Amino acid sequence: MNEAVVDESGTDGVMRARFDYARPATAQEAIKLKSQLGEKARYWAGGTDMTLLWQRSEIQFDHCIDIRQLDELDYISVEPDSIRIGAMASLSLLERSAEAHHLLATLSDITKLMCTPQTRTLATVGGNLCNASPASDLSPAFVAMNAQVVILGEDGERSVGMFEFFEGVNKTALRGTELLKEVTIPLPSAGQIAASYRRIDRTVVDIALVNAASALTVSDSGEIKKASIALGAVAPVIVRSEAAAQPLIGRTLDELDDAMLAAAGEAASKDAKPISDVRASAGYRRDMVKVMVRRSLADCVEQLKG
Amino acid sequence: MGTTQRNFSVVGKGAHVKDAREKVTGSLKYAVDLKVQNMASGKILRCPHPHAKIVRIDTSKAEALPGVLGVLTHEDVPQNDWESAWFNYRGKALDGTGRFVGDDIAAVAAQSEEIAEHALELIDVEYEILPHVLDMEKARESGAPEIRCEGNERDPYIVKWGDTDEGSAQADFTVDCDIFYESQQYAPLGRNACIAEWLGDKVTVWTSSQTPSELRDGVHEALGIPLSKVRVMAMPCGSSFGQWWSNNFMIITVLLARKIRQAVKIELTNEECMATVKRRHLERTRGKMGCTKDGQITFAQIDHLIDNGGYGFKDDVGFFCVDMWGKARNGHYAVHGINTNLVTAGCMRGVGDCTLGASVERLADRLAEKADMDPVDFRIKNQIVAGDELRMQHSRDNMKGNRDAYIASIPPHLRKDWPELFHLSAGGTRAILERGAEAFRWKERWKGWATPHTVDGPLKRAVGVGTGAHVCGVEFEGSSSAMVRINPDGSAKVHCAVGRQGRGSETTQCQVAAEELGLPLDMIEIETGDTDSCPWNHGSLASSTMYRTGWATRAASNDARRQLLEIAAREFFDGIAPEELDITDGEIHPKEEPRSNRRFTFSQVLNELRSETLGQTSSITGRPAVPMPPSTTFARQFGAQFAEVEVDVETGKIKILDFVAVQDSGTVVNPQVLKNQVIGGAICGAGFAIYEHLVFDEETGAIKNANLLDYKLLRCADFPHQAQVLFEESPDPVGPFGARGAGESPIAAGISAVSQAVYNAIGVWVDLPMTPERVVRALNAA
Repeated sequence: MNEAVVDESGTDGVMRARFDYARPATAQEAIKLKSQLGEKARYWAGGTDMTLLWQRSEIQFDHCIDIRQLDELDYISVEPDSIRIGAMASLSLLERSAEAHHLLATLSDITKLMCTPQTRTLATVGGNLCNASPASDLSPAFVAMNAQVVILGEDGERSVGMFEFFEGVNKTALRGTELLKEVTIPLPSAGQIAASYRRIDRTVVDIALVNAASALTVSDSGEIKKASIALGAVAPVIVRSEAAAQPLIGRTLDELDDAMLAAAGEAASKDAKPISDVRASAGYRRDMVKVMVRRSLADCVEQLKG
Repeated sequence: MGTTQRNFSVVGKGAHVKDAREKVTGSLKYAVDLKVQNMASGKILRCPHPHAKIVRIDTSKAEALPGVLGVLTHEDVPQNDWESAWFNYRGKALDGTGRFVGDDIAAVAAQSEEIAEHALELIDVEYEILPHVLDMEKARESGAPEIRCEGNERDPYIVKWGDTDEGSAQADFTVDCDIFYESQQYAPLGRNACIAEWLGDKVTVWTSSQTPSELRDGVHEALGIPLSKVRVMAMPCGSSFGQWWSNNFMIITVLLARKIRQAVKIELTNEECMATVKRRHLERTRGKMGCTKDGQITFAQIDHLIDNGGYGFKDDVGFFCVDMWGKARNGHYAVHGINTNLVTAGCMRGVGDCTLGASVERLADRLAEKADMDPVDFRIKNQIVAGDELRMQHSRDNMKGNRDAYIASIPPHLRKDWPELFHLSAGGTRAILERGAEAFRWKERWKGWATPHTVDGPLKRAVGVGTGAHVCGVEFEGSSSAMVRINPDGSAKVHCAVGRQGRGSETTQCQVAAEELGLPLDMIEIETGDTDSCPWNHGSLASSTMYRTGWATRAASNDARRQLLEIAAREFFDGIAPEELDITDGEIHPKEEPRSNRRFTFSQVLNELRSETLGQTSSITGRPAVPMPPSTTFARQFGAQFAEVEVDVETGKIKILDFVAVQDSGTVVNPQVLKNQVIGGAICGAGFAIYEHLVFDEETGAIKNANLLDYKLLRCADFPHQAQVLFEESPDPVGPFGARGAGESPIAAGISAVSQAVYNAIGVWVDLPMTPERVVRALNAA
């Protein structure tokens, strides 16, 4: 274990902390370290959210376990039955993966909305999910795609649904020493899947005031086999609207007219539980859920119809 | 100094800004980067209440904390009022009363910032909570909580001409308005800090400031010490837009350093910069305007309120938009400055012309619609052109009585060469509107009022035009001066205390001096921050730097040139008349023989003197011989801007698709610098139009979005990359080489252009800022 001190007291920097620093060579070593060091040890991925928390003294730690160099978690691969995204894949890697699969193209477009190009080279997919912000751009898309997360622990791996992974604002299903390993997006064995994400923001660099993602899986004959609609920034966790998605299943693409898409939006907005804050009022957010859901579904239909 | 000359050698060239390399490599030092030896760290204790008086303050626990060097409270502070430029602050450094959440209450100096922060928590303050008022309308009612001993409301500033009743009777169409403006934050890119160090009874102050001289005056007033004992060394402040003039935390730093007898630095956090210093006023316009069937404005009657927050003391925000629409036959404008228990409000870029000006533009647009006139034509018909009378001409404290008395008070020998006072000396909006309309293809793209040119599902697209005017510096607080020194080696230095706020004047002032002296640009450097070496200067505010300081720099250069040529004529050219000499590329030669071999460099001339024993100086110092004419009475800058927007009527989101900005600032001294000024203003105006506003807590007035996550500024990518900037150079009879001011009309014009374009797209006027939510609400209400 190396030791480092960042102690720029006073006028030059905003970082004022003293901690031990470790650079484990493998994920298992990282977990072991965490188990030895306990509560006051934190994993450090891209650090883009952690730095802010640290600056605002919202977190303190005695030990930094730097996992940035863990290549074993830094990958994006397309398999016949799934897309696997390593937790340490950077947002910029995801952004550059659009060619590999059309769902990755959807995700790539989402990353372009996130922070700035500079920050995207640091920020990681896993870090974004572990921060568990209800306004996260990736989370609703992963939920709509029915993604699973793979979690590494001292006793091996376990899998959790993306929706179940989020337990509250900044709260996830990770326990103790556990480390996020991978996001797995299942691909349909037959037919086609399409997904789309829409959000309301203010300027080019912003977080979503309200967002929604939809995913539709259709059979070769154009019948909708699966539908999933996820909403962000309207509750402490990502909301999955069964009421909006369910009526779509069994329909054909051609049957999905404007009225049906609008009805899905209406149903989804009833599932949203937005608050009013400096960014937007609850009423506006609820109204925009209707528009975002309708538009994201229309995007999916358009993609599937080619 | 005439302006007929057009074949300039340095002026008009797009010279790179002198500090570009330092800026892009990060080596330029701002006040936050600076340290002095044995420097303590200071922190300010801030008031948690909107209005409260200190009953008892116990600093003993804080003082006992190891590492604490001293605590400053109101009991240590001389109870003198000090004033920032243009009444942007008036009050005592600390007086035992907090007038807004975040107001300065006390300050701690310690060996480190953490210790100082910790010590703040140990100061025990017992407050008497006073009734507070956040709403300016309530603050002016009788019986409202008294925020200031002078009363909450200033005397109204009134401009009137003709008879508005008569104008109203002549009108075929009349419209009225009641518009509220939210508060814009300067939102500087950088933070600020102040270091003060005393040597005996003299103090040196390092801070990022646009107004070094005004800060020196403020320290003098607050402490009651002679001006000669105060030295301000203003550092670059990056973008400032009016925020970093002379601010109370600077005065507190000076007092804290004096108390602990050690240099101290107070460095503000981002949140302190955004929530405790200054902001644009909250404003409200109620007004009426009427016109004839053929679109001649017959009257304008405007009542405008501005909230000064706790310590602002302004009574006006802008008579410049009033002047711009001065062809109105009758007018009555009243502006009322009112204090509230909100953070201090002050001048921000385009003060008044962004708000009052936007209201006047909105009224005019609505009249134009009633008269069924194109907004470009309506503006040309009703806006001022050179030679027209200005409306800003009535009694004003700092103008020595009414217009005629004022003119009579000026010695005739001074005013004989001046332009006609109270008349526009140059420029106007006609040329820029015509030029812009052509470049934007206005006639093709304008489809009539409230008519989008394209509808694509929920997306509606339309165009709009707006105009803005502003003064080119003011003379009310003193005449800005400059000094030019020619060194024995032939290089020159300009000394003018305008600070450095990123608008390129380190370069453009040198261009003015280079042109006048006949020296290459790289032989000239500039000092903009040291009040010990620079004469008094108003600083870079009110768009004055090129116009009023540039005039002084040119006059000082001309004086230095005259002295140099006198010596050269006597020592090298057999005593011919100095007027028969000229300077090219730093060499003096006979005017009639530009290629003559009889050429002498500045250094030859000056060293000739140095070798003598007559005790003559070996360097030359030039200064303006007379004050600059009072340009508030004749000079204005103008901007006309054209915008295309797309409005999503379902989400309310506005996208700016295309933009043309045309600027009349007289001669363009540096096209690259001016282009940046204009486009920066347009983006800032568009940002104010669609997003920027501070959110105040309804109960306490505390600012809830003092961060750049929730205070939304437009980024470059939010603005069309193909935006064009065009110049109309109507030369000015007084300004340096025909140049005028530039920084503030572009922001005002952009606000109105975007607002009108949105109206044309959706058929509803939306209050500013036109956030997505407000657009949807306005559409639902319509």
